[in-house]
Amino acid sequence: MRTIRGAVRKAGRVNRLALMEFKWWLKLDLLKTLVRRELEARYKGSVLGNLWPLINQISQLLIYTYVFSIVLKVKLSLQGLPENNLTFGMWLFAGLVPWMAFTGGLLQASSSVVAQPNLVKKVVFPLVLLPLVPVLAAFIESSMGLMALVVLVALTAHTAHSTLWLLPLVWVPQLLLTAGLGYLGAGLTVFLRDIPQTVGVIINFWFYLTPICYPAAVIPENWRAAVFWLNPMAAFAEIYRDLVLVGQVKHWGEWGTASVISLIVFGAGLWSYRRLRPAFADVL
Amino acid sequence: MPEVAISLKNVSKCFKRYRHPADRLKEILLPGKSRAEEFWALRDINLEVPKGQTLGIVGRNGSGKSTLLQIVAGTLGATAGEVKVSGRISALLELGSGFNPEFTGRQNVFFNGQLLGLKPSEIEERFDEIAAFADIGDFIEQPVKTYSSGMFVRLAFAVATSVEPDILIVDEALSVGDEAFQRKCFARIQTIQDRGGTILFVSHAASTVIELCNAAVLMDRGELLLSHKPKVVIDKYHKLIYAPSDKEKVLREEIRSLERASVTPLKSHLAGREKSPLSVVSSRVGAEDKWLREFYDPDLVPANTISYVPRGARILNPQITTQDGKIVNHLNSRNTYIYTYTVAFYKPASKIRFGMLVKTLSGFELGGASASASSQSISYVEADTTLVVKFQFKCLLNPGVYFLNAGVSGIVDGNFTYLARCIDVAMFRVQPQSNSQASGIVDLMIEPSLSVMEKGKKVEFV
Repeated sequence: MRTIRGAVRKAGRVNRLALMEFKWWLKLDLLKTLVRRELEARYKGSVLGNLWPLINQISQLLIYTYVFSIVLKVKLSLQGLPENNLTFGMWLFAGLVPWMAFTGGLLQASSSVVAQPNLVKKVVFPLVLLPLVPVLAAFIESSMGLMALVVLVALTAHTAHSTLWLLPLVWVPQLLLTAGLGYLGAGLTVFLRDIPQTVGVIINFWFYLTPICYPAAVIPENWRAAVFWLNPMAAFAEIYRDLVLVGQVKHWGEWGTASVISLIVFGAGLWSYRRLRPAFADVL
Repeated sequence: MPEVAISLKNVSKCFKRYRHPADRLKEILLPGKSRAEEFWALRDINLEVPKGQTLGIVGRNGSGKSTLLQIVAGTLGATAGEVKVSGRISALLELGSGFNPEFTGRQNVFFNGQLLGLKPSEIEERFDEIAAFADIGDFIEQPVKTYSSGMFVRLAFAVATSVEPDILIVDEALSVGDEAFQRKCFARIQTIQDRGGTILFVSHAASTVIELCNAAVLMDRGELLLSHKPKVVIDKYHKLIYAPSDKEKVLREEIRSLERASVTPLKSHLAGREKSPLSVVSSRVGAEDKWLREFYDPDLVPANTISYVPRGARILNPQITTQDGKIVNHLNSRNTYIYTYTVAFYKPASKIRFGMLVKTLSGFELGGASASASSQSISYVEADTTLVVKFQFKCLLNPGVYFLNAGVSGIVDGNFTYLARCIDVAMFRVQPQSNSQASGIVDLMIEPSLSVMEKGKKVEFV
């Protein structure tokens, strides 16, 4: 038994070497093409086309602003900005942008492998790219909202913060986290079709556990640290607000922690995906 | 020693069947007892294909051919063993499977080209040529979902072969598409051969394998039974298909022993880099050694002979012999053979006629004759007479399987009727020849010739 398992493991290794090697720049080209296709396909045939992601984001913005700022009268104070519903809206939106990129990417990444059985079984394809495609597509869509927000802030505060240049530094861990969980979900979904639904339920809980539509200050003091420690999305939302609205980074510690956690999640997700990948073609 | 393009060492593939896919997940992630039923699609395959060779793979359905191709192509992983492949692979496992129906032909060409390892700029360079080969006109700018299946296949083949693969894998893909396109495909395959590309080719069409390949392997039940020259492999393959199930085991053992006995494994008779037969101008002169010997295969007998209820005679012993009297059922085209059967009369009869008929596999009646005894002394036969009927014929048939009828008619008990008649009483195979360019069923003994026309002569186009 031991020898058989040894042989099997060895075969897996050798076989990977034997597969057609995609050079990294070819993979990059392919990824670009795939993401472009994904974005094109999503709104193909619709009249408003690429405006839809923005419309989606703005509709969410309006709902949450109405519920939290007007009905529930959540108060918050931000330096440099007047206290009114518009400010709340912008503040909310700055948190929603990374959240929507995260959830949109994660949900679609979970079913990215099962949705493309042809690429798994019939052609030689670098499967490592599959979950990355929806993650990047959702990220690019969310960046439209981000641009709209930056313009809005510039109009109301008559200034653009120099901290905007730091945004790419938060994009990296944010993408790593999304991709890591996406890999895990995509790999497991091949064997367990319940995963995408499960992810949907988890995301619902996660949304209200993350200080997006309420300020982190209202979380009881002794819980607050734990929330930021365990939930990188909470840190990302705060950092987006720091960079876009406040113009001053107040959450360096949380930023660092979240980056480390994201890196670990990405590593674990990718590892499990690679572990499961050889069996994909047998199952699909 | 020639460079090896594909090398498989002790490759096995096991498909595990689980009651639930989640069981598989448990097994991958948690160590422990396997809950799977195992199914070995390939067992211990050893194969080396030198660079520049065209290898045909034949075998019955479910023998593991496609699994083997998928493992070489890299879409499936082997369970055990070592797979080494050097060079760019282009696999036509299923034409157009990388296509997205929502996108236009052009977009799919670019995407598929990238899957095959080309840079967008390289695809740009080849695009016109691809479009010209596919020959689908304006449809190249339309979504692929609007294509007819023929257009789909043409575009897919055009892309797959345009990347100048070092190794091309073709899995029966060419059987779709019309004849003109198939010809174009074969020409394209030939240019890949000429350029030194390696080709793996799965087909059920014996003549294609013999024409196109330098060597062939026979797969059966996940086992590589034989690797040899295409003719030999095709022969054994046919023998295996028609073998009754109780004889299969013996036959497989026999083929296996042939494989063991052959001192010239695949590698060495490939080593000579013989040119593909396709690229050699065919000539029948001095091709004696290219002809297969005629022989008798006891398994090549009709499975369903229909005999009319006898009314005075029985037909016995139908067989084909060579002119020297050797019994055969694998014939060579253009040789003369004798179809003979014995008629045993148990009632007196008169005005007797004996008939024969040759038919194709699908039942099309190709030709027959009847021998009348009226002019001879046996226009009337007593009961308990036994006659032998011989029909000499020239086998002007192209490779394939043919069936024979036999019949005796005459007046018995005052009625003109069939005394005995048997449909599909015997069968024979006309063996393929490696240099034959004939097509269709009947060999019209066509002698092609070419000459260059003088310049300046007016040519009228049809």
